[in-house]
Amino acid sequence: MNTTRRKFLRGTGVALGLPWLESVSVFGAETAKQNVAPRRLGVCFTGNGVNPHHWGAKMGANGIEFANSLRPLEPIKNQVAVFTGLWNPTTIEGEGGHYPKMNVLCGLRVKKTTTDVEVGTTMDQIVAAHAGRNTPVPSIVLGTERPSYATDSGFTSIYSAYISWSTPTTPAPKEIFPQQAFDQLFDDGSKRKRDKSILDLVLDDAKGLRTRLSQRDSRKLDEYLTSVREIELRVEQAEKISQAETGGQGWQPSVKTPTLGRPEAGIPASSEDHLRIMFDILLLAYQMDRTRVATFMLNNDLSNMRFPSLDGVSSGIHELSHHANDETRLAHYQKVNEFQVKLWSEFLQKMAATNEGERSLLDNSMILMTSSLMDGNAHDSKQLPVVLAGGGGGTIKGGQAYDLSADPNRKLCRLHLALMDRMGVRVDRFGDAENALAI
Amino acid sequence: MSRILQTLLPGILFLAALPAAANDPVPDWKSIEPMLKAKCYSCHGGEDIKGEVDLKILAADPKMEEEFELWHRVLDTIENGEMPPRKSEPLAEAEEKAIVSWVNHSLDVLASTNSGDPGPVTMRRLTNGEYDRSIRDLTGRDYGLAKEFQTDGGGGEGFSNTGDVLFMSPAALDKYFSAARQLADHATIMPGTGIVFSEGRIGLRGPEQFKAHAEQGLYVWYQQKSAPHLPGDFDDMREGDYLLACWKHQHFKTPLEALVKETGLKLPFLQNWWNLVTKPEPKSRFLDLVRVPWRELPAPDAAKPTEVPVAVTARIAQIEADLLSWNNPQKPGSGVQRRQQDSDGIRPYNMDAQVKGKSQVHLCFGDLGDGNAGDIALVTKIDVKLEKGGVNYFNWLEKTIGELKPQIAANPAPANLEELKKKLASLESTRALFGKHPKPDRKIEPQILAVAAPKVITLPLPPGAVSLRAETKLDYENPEVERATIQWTATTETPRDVTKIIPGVLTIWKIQTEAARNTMNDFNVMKTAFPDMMERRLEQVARNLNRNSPNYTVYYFSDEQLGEVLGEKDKAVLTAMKKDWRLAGPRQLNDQQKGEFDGAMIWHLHQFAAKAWRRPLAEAEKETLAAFYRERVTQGLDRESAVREGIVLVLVSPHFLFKAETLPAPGTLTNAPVDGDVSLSAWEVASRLSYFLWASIPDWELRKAAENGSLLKPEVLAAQAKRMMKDPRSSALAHEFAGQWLKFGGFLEHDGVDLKKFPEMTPELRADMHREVVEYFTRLFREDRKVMDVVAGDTSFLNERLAKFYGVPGVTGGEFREVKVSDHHRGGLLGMGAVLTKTSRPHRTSPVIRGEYLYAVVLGHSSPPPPPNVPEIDENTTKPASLREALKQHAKDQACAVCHDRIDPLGFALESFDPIGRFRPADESGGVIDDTGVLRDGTTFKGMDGLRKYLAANDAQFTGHFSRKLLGYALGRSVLPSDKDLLAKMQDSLKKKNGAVSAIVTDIVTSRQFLNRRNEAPALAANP
Repeated sequence: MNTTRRKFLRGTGVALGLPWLESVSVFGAETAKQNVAPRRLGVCFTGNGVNPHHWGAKMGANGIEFANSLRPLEPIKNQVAVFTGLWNPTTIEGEGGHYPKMNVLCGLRVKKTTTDVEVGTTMDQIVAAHAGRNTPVPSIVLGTERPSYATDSGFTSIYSAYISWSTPTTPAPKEIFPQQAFDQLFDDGSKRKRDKSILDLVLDDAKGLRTRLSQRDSRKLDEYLTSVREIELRVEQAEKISQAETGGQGWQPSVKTPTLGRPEAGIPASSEDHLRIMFDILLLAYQMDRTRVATFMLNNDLSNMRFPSLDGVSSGIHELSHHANDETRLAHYQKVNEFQVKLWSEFLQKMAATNEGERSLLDNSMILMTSSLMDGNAHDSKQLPVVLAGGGGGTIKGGQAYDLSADPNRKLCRLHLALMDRMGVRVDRFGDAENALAI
Repeated sequence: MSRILQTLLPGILFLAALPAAANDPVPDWKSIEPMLKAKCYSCHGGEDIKGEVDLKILAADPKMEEEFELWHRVLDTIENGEMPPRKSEPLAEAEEKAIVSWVNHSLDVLASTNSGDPGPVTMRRLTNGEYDRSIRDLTGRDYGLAKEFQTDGGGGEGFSNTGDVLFMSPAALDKYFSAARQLADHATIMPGTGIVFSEGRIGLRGPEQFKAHAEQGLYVWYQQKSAPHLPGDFDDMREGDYLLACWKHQHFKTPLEALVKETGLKLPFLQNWWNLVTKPEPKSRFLDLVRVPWRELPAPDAAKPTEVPVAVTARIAQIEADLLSWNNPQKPGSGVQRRQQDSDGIRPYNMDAQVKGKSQVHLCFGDLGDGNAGDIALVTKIDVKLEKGGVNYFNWLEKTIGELKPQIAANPAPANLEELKKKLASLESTRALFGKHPKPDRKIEPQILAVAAPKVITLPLPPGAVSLRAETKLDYENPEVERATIQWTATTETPRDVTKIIPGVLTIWKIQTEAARNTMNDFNVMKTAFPDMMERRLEQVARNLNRNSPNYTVYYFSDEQLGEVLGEKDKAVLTAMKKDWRLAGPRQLNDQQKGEFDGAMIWHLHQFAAKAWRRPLAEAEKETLAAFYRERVTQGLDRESAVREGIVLVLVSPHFLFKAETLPAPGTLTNAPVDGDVSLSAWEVASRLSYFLWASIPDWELRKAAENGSLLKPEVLAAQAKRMMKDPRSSALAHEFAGQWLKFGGFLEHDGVDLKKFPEMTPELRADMHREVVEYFTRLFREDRKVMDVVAGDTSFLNERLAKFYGVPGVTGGEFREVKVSDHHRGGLLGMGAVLTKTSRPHRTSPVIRGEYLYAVVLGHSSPPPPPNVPEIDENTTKPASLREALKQHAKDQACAVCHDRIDPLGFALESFDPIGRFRPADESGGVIDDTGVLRDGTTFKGMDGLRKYLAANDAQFTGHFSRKLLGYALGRSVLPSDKDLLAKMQDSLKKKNGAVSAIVTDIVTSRQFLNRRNEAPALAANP
């Protein structure tokens, strides 16, 4: 059992070396049979930072007190923890600008290149490789905007479009079409069974081809090989899960069939509708336990997404983030931030209203909201906006504001370690950090 | 060259880098680094990293190869005097000279070290655009499935076709599976015609559907293919000419082919006529009406052996007339030939005759020469229409006889007594025919005329008779009626021989008798030989599908004849369709047929795979696919579904999804080319070529050139490239290359227009604008136009709607055509609505965005991003007129001026175009537009016309950037210093070839870079 897992890990490019692997301990396989609801992990991201004057929280006489942009979280304030001061130190080692900061979920340096991209395998994908074994879909990566074709300042714009990387050189594919996301999550897996015999053959094909390739090309083909194996695993997994479900053993999700119709093809006309439907799909995925790991980019970094429904706000968010301390622009910047938090909060409240027995779905989850910059105006990444919602299955105390500004070891990857640990991935170090943040 | 272009050449163009003179000692890095440390690091290293340039991190090693673009920028800005900025301490003259010399030299060394190096090119997955086009060319249909795939990003020179950024993932593979399944579901696979993709989903088919497909397919195909070559319903079928040609063939021995040439007849029909008149089969007394007289035609006169006797032509005319008489020329398909089968003998059938001016009419009763048993007709009523009114013939007889008698008996006798007597005798003898049955024991009414065929009865007519109708029926009471076959007809001409078949006259019989059946069979032979309608002729051809030998229909094609008429391609299709039918038709197949069926299905799968994988299959691959198919059939899948599974396999295979270029097998690299390149195989080159020019798979011609290896010859390569550029598929260059580079690719989904302010921007207009750019670039490549036309040309492509919108007169209709627009402030890319709209704010123009687009994207200057803490000018709140002023203010700051001095003037020149690309006399607030651009060196241009002239005068900038972009797109990688020579060559060729784009395409496809790959280390042991 252990060897196949290791094989898989290497296959997905989690390339941290063997000693690290030895220290991995996983209880993914066991959770399938457990009687309590599983834990869920999610990361929501917005590009271009936030208006720093209206972000954050502090502890007051009556518990946590939110700054304006976080006010929409009020109804679930006891299930929210706000962090001040966390950052990725690697982001200020190299060049300035946006791209080197697009490493929020791995903390490793973003390679300056227009071709052979490299960042690091992100924490959600490592968790997916473990906890993902127990659900039909290991993880879902959602977004609203496609990457552009441009290269800029020696970087490819690929970086601005992905926060999840399944290997250091491969971004986890992001789904921006609601219908496609829906199909991917709620397909019953029967289609895949037919594909299995074909998979065996194309795997042979690829192996044969590999011997005639250069090292450079073989790495590209390995993405294919890994994908084939991964699908094979999923087919097997789907069979197991369906057996378990039919057997009626252990914990069962509270929602059994989609409560949402299959969305229409294409991209919704308004960005607001687009965000809402993606949140709804994500909620359903968690409710039905189709996946336990998700990331959602509300917009790309450098995005110029517009919100025409917000009164008076006509510029795109990248434009607004370069506010130059102009009062109107700062106000609009804040309005957009608050609106995004509002949508997020609505989603969280629906999670809180989903009863999973002992606890609510939100209590069983850990949903992060973050960005790659603090103040977008100055491309400032010396601290990042980080808010964590959910109870992590009773392991996280909500209603807390943590100020780590003065902590010499305020690396964001320490929080990642803490979350990974709760998802059953016990590692000694991750990214640039070595010990988990105590929360 | 103007200052702006001279000084701001992006280093990557390599035009500025001249080798240092030999006697000039080149400084080394050790002597250069301290200068940079002293003068540059304070802004470009450590704490501060202005312009995102960090020089300090290169202190130990300048990393020329990795950072060559950075060093180019350093060179440019120093040479231009832009760095160090005015407020900082300047470089000493000697320092500047040393740095410039060092960078130039280092770059030169880099460029010449491995000039033409193929460079690092990572194996490329098909981009989404390439996937759709490959499927289109593979299936013949545009399914557009990739729109559901994960979207591609850009790398290399800013194109999606860069291997490193084309990822594969489980989710992506899942989608490839799903797309492949959809495609397979749209396929029909027949043993002969093979894999055909249809518009709709086909899905699982049972044996009956499979059979019906083969049958209907072939049936319809026969009709469709033969229709244009068969005579139509009102066509002159030239029966007489064919008969004469047959006579000549027999008597003059003129070959049929020669006769065809001489007469304009059609060979297959003449062959059919010849067979018909000369062969004894099929037997038919009705057909004999044609062939017996033909056979009895006289031979040529001994005296005039080369002439056609008059008797021959006359008799042939009669044969033709007789043949045609079976049909109704006014309404094909309604003549006797058609009606014969419904003849029943129960109803009366009239004899009709036009008798105007005639004194008598002949009622002809024919026995068809087959014996007259039962052939008795009862004429029950004869009506005669007179000039005024009408009479019953029998009554008239009675009455006239009654009147004549007293006249004859009168005293004194009338003058015409003899005449009257004669008349009376005639009438009385006629009347005597009535009321008498040929069988003496039969009693009939007195007015009924009963006649046993063969017999002609001649009736004298009343004066002034116009027409006659004799209601006649078969004598059903006659016990011999079972054997009756009889014709009756009325005529005023000489009666035909009533002991033989009378042409064109209906035969009457009692239905469902042997006599009726036999005669009908005989009759049907004639019907089949000469169908009376076009659709029945088509049907005769279509019925070939169930025939083993040709039919005797005359205007008809046997399979062989049809093949001759249609040509090789259709001949092959016919053979294939017949194979479909042969194998799909029978309910049970024998072992030999099963083997043939499976073999054919496997063959088609192999063909499909070879086309999809863009190369011939290895034997082992063929075996794998065959085994895969057989296994599925063994598992109980029908043959078609088994091939469908194979199609899925082919389309999710890495051989389809990746454009792999393999290393030579170990040990075969005996004649390794220079510098460790690996020459691409002809097949790999074919793929590179087709994906470069078409973003799709090679076509048949290209495959042929790859197969025989000729593609590796430079002249063949160049010729193929030219051919491919002309092909409509090269529009991919407009969509993919130009669309991605110049950023109009997503224009259809572009939402940056304030529709409240500009309701004119309808989806239709937007589509037209997009089409304009696409059309422009498509023509650029397809018609091998000049590269410089893109920015300096006089024309564009418009339809009526767009022309009206632009205010260009004289364009009508929805079709796009080339229009000279230089008199209307346009011409080329910069005057296009899509570009002008894309570079505007939703509700107003932005000289900065337009300038930046032109400066950086179109002309390829490197343009550093604005410093992070300086806001873009708030164009939203500033009045347009004062925007220029605001920008001027902004540019006073040295940090801003560095860029804005170069960018803004270009944008100002386009200020006369509103945010959706209309030419405007005044700006949003009614202010006068100043569309003058002034560069730092004082160069001034005004408006679009000035800008176009300016760009034309500095053409090397655009052509150089165009070349670089096209090279990057073709190779799927960033342009390297070692590409310098090739880029220079491309510039040269362009000059020599009058600027035509094919010059640079040819250089690219015949370059070392394009035809080779680096001989890199082989893959390590396979992933566990």
